[in-house]
Amino acid sequence: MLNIPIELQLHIANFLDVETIISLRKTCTSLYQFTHDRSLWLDLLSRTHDIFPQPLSASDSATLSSLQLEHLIKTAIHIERMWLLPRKDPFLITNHDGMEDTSPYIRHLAFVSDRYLLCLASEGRISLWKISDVFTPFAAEVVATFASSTWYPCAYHLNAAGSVLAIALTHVEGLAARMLTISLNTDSFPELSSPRLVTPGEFSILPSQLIRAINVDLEIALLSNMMTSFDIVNWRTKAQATVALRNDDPVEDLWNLMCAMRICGPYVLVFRMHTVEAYPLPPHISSEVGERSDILPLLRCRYPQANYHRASLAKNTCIKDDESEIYGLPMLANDPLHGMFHFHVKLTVRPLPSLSVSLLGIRPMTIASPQLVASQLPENQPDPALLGIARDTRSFVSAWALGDHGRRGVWVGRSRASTNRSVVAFTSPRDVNSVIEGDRMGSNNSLQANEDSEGPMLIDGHLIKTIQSYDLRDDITVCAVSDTTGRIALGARGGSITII
Amino acid sequence: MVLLVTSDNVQFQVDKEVVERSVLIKNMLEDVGESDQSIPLANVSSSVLKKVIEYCEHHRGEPLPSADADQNQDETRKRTTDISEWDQKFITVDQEMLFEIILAANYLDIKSLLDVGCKTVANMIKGKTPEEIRRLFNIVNDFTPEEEAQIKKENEWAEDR
Repeated sequence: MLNIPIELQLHIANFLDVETIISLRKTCTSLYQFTHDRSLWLDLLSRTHDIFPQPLSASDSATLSSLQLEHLIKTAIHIERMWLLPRKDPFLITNHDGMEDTSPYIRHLAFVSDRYLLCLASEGRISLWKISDVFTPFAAEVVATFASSTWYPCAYHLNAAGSVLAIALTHVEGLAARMLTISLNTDSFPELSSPRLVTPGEFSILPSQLIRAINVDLEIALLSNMMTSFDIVNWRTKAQATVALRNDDPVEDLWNLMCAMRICGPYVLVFRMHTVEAYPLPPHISSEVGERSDILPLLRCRYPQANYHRASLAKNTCIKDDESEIYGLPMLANDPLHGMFHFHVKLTVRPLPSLSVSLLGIRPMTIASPQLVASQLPENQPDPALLGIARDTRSFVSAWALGDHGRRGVWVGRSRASTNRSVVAFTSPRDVNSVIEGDRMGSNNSLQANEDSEGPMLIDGHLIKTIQSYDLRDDITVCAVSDTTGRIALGARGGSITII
Repeated sequence: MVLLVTSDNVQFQVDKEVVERSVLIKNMLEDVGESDQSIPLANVSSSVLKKVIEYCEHHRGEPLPSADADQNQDETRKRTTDISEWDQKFITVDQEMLFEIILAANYLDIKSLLDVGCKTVANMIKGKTPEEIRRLFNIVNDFTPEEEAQIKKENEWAEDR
């Protein structure tokens, strides 16, 4: 082994796993040096890509040293091993700031760039913590706070560059909205600037309107108007448009409520209880959109079977080149009657506009009709009843979340007549990245749901934490997952946050 | 037929189709054109060349891997250490011969044989402890006890999967 040229040693190493490479490292000084070869770690990176939530682009890894590459792989392996194991030593963040009599209700909890935890709570409370590195003990350091008795946070967005976090605030009387930004400056120390108001970022709203989503790059806010339409507002130019929701079936669409919105390229994606719809952004709203949205059609896609009241959306991916422009959006939704559903929504803008939904995984938790969910699983999947999923019946899910990259997810379940709350973690049963790649290769222009020939898999959830909840204060109402660090944040009704 | 001469001056008469599995010899023959001249292989001994020719005879007629196959991402991903049954039997040789075959396959540029050799070495090492690897290849542990302890500590993460 030692007497052959290094390029042949490297060739042998191409067939070795990380553990064996590290064993080689421990044998002697010569092989110790050999196992620090950069090309060796580049090769390992390409072979361990499936445990990374987000594939590293060639240009990203080009600038990394062998030690940095090794650290990346080491981290990913560590997280992959820990992810489905029971969590010990939860780290509690109190959200009271010493004011015992108030208990802010947590509206949103989110990991930002896998480094920060953002909490939007009632009483105008915004908190941003910096979360410690994976290999150090849990710690959360407050890096930005904001509190106001008259302006309440309701939505947030991180810009495409990952440098500016924007938060939308609505006035307590519901007649105005404004924008707050926090710069996440990754190059300098201190890392953050204090929150500041965007000027001009104020616009008027109606008390019946709800800010569903914002996009700080386009300076656009999306507002829902009861059940029939939504508004698009550019907070800098004050350009505004009202878009009527498409309702095909007067009875069914009457209860087709909106659960989430997201801007993807020249489209606004609207997630409703039975359908996903894509509405072209009106060109006058933003110069970034351009004229092309004029000719784009409205797209609509119905979910297979179930109904979803809320959806947790991952970050969308985008593939853009001369011929194509395709957005991919992993999503986790809960149907109270049937269980957890893991989808991949694909929006094609070019060459031909289309919208489709693929069901990647199902976790049945049926109360009403076990057969319905079982019938959606392909035949080669084991019968859910045999896997002990019967345990999940008569339980319901109070919170769920998908990581930014859609690879890891979590839900918090609760059984009737029990004070236990179960935190269940899972890894996407299908490689989300390969789904996106597959989408790119096979251009499928059908508008049908579930175009995926492979069909959904059973979501293999692992119980990683049990929480006792004797009163309502300890109920978990919101949660968040960080794909790349494997950390989970749980927000209780009483306002406390736990990281596990 | 092509005439090959080994480092220990043994001559081998081999079918052109067989010997052309070596990219090195194939290119040589293309450069020289038709001739009766022998090809000297200064880096390969007769015992090793005999094995190499046995391999090439068996795989005669199989398509050669294209030059850019290495760049193919999918191939990298699907890379396994599986070896076909015949190849496995063929490569069951002592360690010295194994490395000689790897060196010869590299010199003669026979990619599939090089892979079989390297996969075999990889399978020998896989899952072994540092001490087992040292014994396998007669490697002398030249770390100081302090260095060894330090390296062990730094690399704990890779243990007990």
